[in-house]
This record gives sequence, C-alpha cells and structure tokens, in this order.
Amino acid sequence: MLFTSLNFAIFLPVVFILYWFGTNKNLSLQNILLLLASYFFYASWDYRFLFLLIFSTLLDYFTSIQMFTAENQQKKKFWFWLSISINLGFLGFFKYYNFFTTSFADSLSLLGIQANFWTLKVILPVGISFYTFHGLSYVIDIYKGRIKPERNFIDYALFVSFFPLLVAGPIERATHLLPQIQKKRDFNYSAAVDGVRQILWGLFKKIVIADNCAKFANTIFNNSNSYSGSTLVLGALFFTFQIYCDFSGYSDIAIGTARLFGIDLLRNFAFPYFSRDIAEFWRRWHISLSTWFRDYLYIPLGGSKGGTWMKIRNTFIIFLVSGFWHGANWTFIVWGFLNALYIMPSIILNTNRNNLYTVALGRLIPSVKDFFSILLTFLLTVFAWIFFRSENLHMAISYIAKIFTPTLFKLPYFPGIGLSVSTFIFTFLFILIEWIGRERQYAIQFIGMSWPRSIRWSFYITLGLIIFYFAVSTPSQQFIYFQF
Amino acid sequence: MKIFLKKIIVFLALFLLIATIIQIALSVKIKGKIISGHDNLEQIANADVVFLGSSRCWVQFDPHFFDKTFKVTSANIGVDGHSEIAMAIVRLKDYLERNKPPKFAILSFDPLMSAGSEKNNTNYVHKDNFARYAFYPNSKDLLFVNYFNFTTAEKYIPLYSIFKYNLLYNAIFTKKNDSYITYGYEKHDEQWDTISNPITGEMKNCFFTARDIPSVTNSLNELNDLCIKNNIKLLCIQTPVYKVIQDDIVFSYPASIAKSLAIPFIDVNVPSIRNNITYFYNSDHLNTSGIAQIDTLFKRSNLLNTFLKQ
Repeated sequence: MLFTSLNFAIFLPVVFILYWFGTNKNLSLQNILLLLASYFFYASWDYRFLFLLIFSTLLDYFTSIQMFTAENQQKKKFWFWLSISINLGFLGFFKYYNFFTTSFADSLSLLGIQANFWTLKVILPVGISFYTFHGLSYVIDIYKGRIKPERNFIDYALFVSFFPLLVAGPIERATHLLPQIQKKRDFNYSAAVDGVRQILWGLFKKIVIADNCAKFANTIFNNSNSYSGSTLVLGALFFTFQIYCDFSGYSDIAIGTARLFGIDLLRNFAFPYFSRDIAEFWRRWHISLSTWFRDYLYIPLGGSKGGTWMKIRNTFIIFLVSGFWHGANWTFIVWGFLNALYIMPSIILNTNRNNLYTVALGRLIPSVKDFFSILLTFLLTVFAWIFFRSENLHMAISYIAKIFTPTLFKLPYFPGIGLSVSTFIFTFLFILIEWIGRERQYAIQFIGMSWPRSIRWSFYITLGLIIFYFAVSTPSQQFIYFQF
Repeated sequence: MKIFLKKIIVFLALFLLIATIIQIALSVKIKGKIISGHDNLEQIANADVVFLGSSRCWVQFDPHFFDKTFKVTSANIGVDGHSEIAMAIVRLKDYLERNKPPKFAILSFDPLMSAGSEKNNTNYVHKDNFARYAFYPNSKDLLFVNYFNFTTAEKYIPLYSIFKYNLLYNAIFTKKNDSYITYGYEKHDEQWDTISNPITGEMKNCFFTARDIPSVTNSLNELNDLCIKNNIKLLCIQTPVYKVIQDDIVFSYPASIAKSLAIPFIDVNVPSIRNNITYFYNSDHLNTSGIAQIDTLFKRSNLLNTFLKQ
C-alpha cells in the first residue's frame, strides 16, 4: 500500500476515525488498533513477510527482557549477541547473501579458481533495513543501560511496526517513540492541521517532482550511451531531485500521518541541498540514519576522541557501512567512500561544525560565498549520486566518462521522451518554495500563515489540483527507499 | 476534533466543487469541437451516406469525392484502430442518436475485420480520445463510454478522465483540425517509408480465418439488422491491400459472407492497385494516389451508382 495510492487514501481516514472516535477513551485499545492497522498495512505488501516482522519483534522483546533480568554479565552478553546476530543474520541473508557469494566467487575466479556458489532468488522484505535498525537500537540501548525494556508487548510491537515509519523510516529510537506510545494522546488541532499540510507537501514532492524527474532520469540512465554529455548531466540532476523529493516526500507523509495520531516522529531531512559543505549535508540528509550511525557505530568506535587518524578511520567506516546499508552493490559502497572523501578536508581541518545554522538565516538572498559553497556542495553530491543510481560500477564509470567528452558542450536533447516544460517549471518553483521555507521543519509549514484564509486555501487547493493532475496522468513510481 | 473534521470536509468539498467547475468549463469549451482528431462523435452530419469500419475506412473513404461524384452528402465515421464490426455497430448507434438516419451505410469490409463484442470489448486503441465523453456521460455518450469500459472513477470524479488521458492541454488549447479530419477522413499523402516501416507480411496475422466466418457473419448480420431497422441500405466494399499480404482465398471470404446475408458487395482490391507500392503508405492503407485509383473504380462501378441512386 503506497502512500500515494487510493488504498492508502481510504485506509488512513478509516484508521483515523476509528482511532479518535472508536478507541479514544482507552490507550491500550488505541495502541492495539494502531498495531493491527500497521500489520494490515505491512501485509498488503506481502503477507508472508509479516511473520518475519512479528518474529523479529518477538525476538527483540524477549531477549531484551532476558538481558535486563540476567543474573550476570555473561548471560546479559549472551542474550545481547543472540539478538544482534539473529537480527543482522536476517538482514544479511535477505539483503547481502547473493552479494557476498557472487563477490567471493568473482575474487576466486581472479585467482583462477572457478567456484559456483548458489545464489538465491529471494524477494527483499520491504522495510527490513528500517525495522531491523529500530530493533537494534532498542536492544543496544537496553544493553548499555540507557533504557529499561518495555514489558507491554503491544507497545513494543507498535514501536517497531508503527505504519507511517514501517517501510522507509524515519528510523526511530525507543527513547523518543516509546514514551509517546505509552502516554495518553489527546487530539491536538494545530498538530493535526500541520500534519495534513506536511502530507500535502510530501505528496507534491513525490508525485509532482520525483515521479516527473524519474521519467527523465530513468530514460537517460538506462540509455546513457545514446545521449550527449550535457544530457547526461541533466540526467544526473533529474536523479538528484528525484531521490530527494522521493525520500523526503515519503518522510513528510510519514511524519504528517503520525502527527494525525498525536505522535511526533524524528525529522529526517532539513533542506540538504542548501548545505554549504558535505558535513552540513550529512547533518541534513536522512538525519535519522546519520544519527543512528553516529550513536551506534561512530561513537562506540571511539568517535573523534582518538585524534585525527582515529577520526579519519571512523569516518570512513561509517560512510562505507552507510553505503553498504543502502544495498548489496559496489556502487553504494563507492558512493559512501566518495562522501567520506568529500568530508575529509573538514575532518582534518576541524571545520566540520562550521555550518551549524541554516544558510542566510533571516535573509532572502545568500552571500556570494554561501552561494558558491552551496553550489559546490550540490555539484559534489550530484556527482556521487551517479554511482548511487547506476546499476553497477562499469555503468557509473562509463556514464561519467561520457559526460567529460566534447558532447558536454552540445545542447541537451531527449529523443523519444520530449522535453517537459512543466517538469522544469515545477522543479524551479519547488526549489524556490524550499528556499523560502528553509528555516522551518518543511517548506510550506508557515508559508501563507499570515495570508487571508481565502488565499491560503486557494494555494492548498491549487497544490491539490496539481498533485491530482500528476497522480492520475503520470505512472506512479515505487518509492526508491523501499528497496533498501 | 470536530472543527478539524469540519474543516477537512469543507476543504474537500471546496476542492471537489472547484474541480467540478473546471470540468464543466472544459466540457462546455470543447462541446461540439474536435480536440484530438478522432473524437468526432459530436459532429452533426445528417448525411445521406455514412462510411463505417476501421482505419481502412477512416483513411480511404473520402467524403468530398462521394459528395461531388454522386451528389450526396456523406460522412466518414470509421474508427481508427478498431476493426471490430461491434465497433462499427456502436459507432452507427451513436451516430443515429445525434443525426437523422442516413439512407446508406457503406462498410469497409475485408479479412482484416473481426466480429468483436459490444459488451466485452478488449481493444482500447485510442480510448484516450474518447475520455472527454467519460465524465457523467449522457445516454448518447454512454455507448462509447461503456464500449471502452471507462471506470467509475473516470465517470464520476471530476477531471479524472481528462487528467488521466492527458487531454488537459488539448482541451485548453483547442487546435483547429484539418478539414479532412473534421469531415471524418484522414488524408495521407505520404509514400511508404520502407526503411522505418519495412515491407512484411505481418498483417496477415490479423486476418480472420475460416473458423471465424460464423462469428463475423453474425456480427455483420447484426449490423445489417440495425440498418434495416433504421431504413438504411447497407453495402460492403473491400479495398486493396499491398500484394505482400494478398491471399486470394482469404480475400474471397468477405464476398461470400456478404452474399450469404444478401448485402451488396464491391471488391476494389484489384491487381492494378495492389501490385503498385506507390499507392500505399503501408501494407494495408492506401495513400491519396491509391485513393484516387479506387475512386476511379467507384465512379465506374455500376453497382455503386445504382445503389446510391435508390
């Protein structure tokens, strides 16, 4: 059930009505309703993997209690490693088994040994990387003594499976989400209105910008040999906007939906393409994953405490792991490696915390320095996305090599797909609105709040009509991050 | 909570109202006009002669020629992409809903036609052109709307079908169509580009076979019944195909089917035309040079002259 589907448009109001009108007097009933709705939502993808989700939930629920009540450190460690290894085992099996076997066979063949390992034709359970990381953070937090285990299974299961975040995050922390699940939730008018507005903006990003850019990005990346260097640059730009609007659009819908149920989810994006350096970019892109890696990998590895070399080593580790988290493909690893390289100068020079605040705070126009810093960071990011989007390393390298040919200076052209003026216009308007609203949680959070209601509503209705137009006239694309 | 729900409902109602207003405005703007070239259902012809059939009717029967030569008024209501007789029936019914019944109906009838089914149509070629009629269809439009199986959402959600089938631009910027299209005939001057569209016998796969004769006969009979009911005289004409797809046996079926139903039949699929590639723009469609050739044959045809003078 896609957030952009008609099914979800029916599912959400039904759950909302039942939640606030049928179960509002009883917190347990509300949580049971949300859990059942979440399982229904997940089963609509593939009911077989629902059992995997329930198993993973049960595993973490029981091991965390065992860990907490363990008589000694040895037993605590046993339960901890049992949970970690089974969680990572599932993730490894479904996501990485084929990658490791084919990569191992390839390296053996370089030594002249022909090995024929079995590869498996398994479907990657949707959201496995996300709910596994939910579970891992919970187990690690209990092991480290940061939190106590949740004894109420429904509450814990809801923490893992809450439908807005189940398939593509934001990756929540028990310390943030569980207390909200345990506490009575009252309907908050402002939060609900804000949630609807954020959903509207998320739908605009996904349906109008991402799906439109996807048409061009897919055609250009899939036929890169037929296009000029300048067209390939445009292809990379289209993908750059596609991936941002696709994923941040999903996050906006997820966060907005959760707010309708009185739950605040972690922020996942903070206008990353307006970053002035790569360190800032990573504080603004997929924030829930970046902070997860910071808290559960970077800091345990020693963080920045062991001097410059330690910082460099740890930075490379988290970027490589982050790349690998995205998928079992060398392209993601190179993408992670590139980002680690990009961030190195600021790590070495200790300037990685230079740009902590929103660019041009309180002003409409950025300074020349800020403008060029944003442009440079953006171009570096676009370059890295080429690896992320390519099917394999060979394709990525060919794509880049084709860009840097004399055809780079030819006018871009799109044989067969036509040039959609509307895509350019809407992308331009989108960038403009994002820039104006960059100091907020999401771009249209406060846009027009001081306008008369008639104008404000006209704006929302226009936005709705544009979304409606593209929703029915453009083939819907799967959310990119569902594959991770 | 109540305020929130009330506002959401008001917002959705307002949204729906505005969408409905836009839908109505667009419908009014395009009423009676052709916006895609094929959506000529609303064109009032009140003609003496109508031509029925698929693209082989749509691009090969020139109403101007018939009007001038036989002193009649004619309209081409062939439907491009639809070789089913069922579609010819639907199109004629639709025509009769909006026009006086013609005196004559000429069906472009050859082995490329098929029986089809009015209730279970599976051919959706050019469905998009007729999506403009899908919203709240009146009894006249229902024939096509049902034939193309437009969904409930397409029929009752304002703007849905206009958006889904990408008609918005055409509806806003209604272009002036070529007068040939307005008269229900699409003129093709071009020669066969055999490089981009190589000469093959592929179209032979679309011929109906001996096994299909009963169903095709039934469909033709149904069309004939409709014509009789409306006092229309039906004539079948078989037009030429390029020699590469000629098959003497198969091309003899239409004549025998028409004969079995006592429907007059004219065959202009003659070697002098079908052996000359310059008369075609592909294996089963004549260009204007080829049409000039069949028009000469029509002019000389005693059967046609007698038929149209009844």
